[in-house]
Amino acid sequence: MTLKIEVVLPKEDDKRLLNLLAQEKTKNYGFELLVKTYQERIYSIVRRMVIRHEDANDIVQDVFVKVWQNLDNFRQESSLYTWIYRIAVNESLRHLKSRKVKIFSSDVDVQKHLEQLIDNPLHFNGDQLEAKLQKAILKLPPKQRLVFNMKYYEDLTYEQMSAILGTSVGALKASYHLAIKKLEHYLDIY
Amino acid sequence: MKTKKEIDREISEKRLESRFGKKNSFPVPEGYFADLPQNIIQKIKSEQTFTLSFDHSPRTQRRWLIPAITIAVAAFIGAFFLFKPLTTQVNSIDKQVVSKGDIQNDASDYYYISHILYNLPYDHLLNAINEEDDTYLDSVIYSRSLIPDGTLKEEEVIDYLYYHMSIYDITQF
Repeated sequence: MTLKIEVVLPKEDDKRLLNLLAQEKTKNYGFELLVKTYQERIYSIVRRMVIRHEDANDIVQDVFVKVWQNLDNFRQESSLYTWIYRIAVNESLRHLKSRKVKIFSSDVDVQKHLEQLIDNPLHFNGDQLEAKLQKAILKLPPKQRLVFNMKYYEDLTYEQMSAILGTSVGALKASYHLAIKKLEHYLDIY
Repeated sequence: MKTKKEIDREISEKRLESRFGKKNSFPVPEGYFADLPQNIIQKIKSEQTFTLSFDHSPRTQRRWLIPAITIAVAAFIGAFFLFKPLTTQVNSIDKQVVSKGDIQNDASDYYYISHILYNLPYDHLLNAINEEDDTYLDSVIYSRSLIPDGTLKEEEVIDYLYYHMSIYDITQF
């Protein structure tokens, strides 16, 4: 089974979910619906960052546990999706940082380890060209990799990315442009 | 209407897409998403049960807590009265020294940082959009906007990146 993602930002769904979550009687049902609504998109962005399914699964579960624990603190200043996405992004970056500290000594070691996972069909089952692209993406620094994945694979707009990452649209455009130029260089395509 | 920059970026993206595609080739175990909501709910329940089981533990298991808390509170109060005069004195001296020093340092730091940012060459701006800290560019742009005759605007930075960036620059990051 391979993941297929449709990116539609469901503002109306947000309202419905928040209504269900606000009432004690429907809170559990609302939460289950929330997980079903967002799980694939959240999993996708996390998986691309950590590569291993087991790690992605742990992070995604932690993300939704945090969502449940902090529902009362959600102020609706951002959309539900932006809020959950932000938690997922932070958890993914935190995971990579903790791996660097606990297991590896540098980002380069983490990158090499992740590149090895791409060669393992348990973790990645694309063809040689796709594997080549994934390995090139892994050469990008974690935050730039995140920006690239959000734009290229998840089709998020710069405004949505800005709301999630708290970075200006201009800086994101520059970061994405730079990521693409680096990839063209790594992959030798012009 | 699309700007030149947007068209340029789209061309690069299309080139990448036509060669490598956008397929998601990360395998997911069969039925994973069907089970995930229940797995998450189970995890939440087990964490809640853990919390509840501690809260509702039998009185016999918590008997040690009362004397322990009593001793801790008594020790804290004793230490507070014993060291209070000395601590207050030290704090008041520290505050005087720190406040004067901080004001001077803040002013000179601000001047120094502003000066550096204002005179930062374009080459350094390339390094600004860096791996670990992409907020650095924001801070550069923000700081320059605070300077009345600062001419560099965000758009100019982006323009520069688009039209002056070489592969050599990129590989130096």
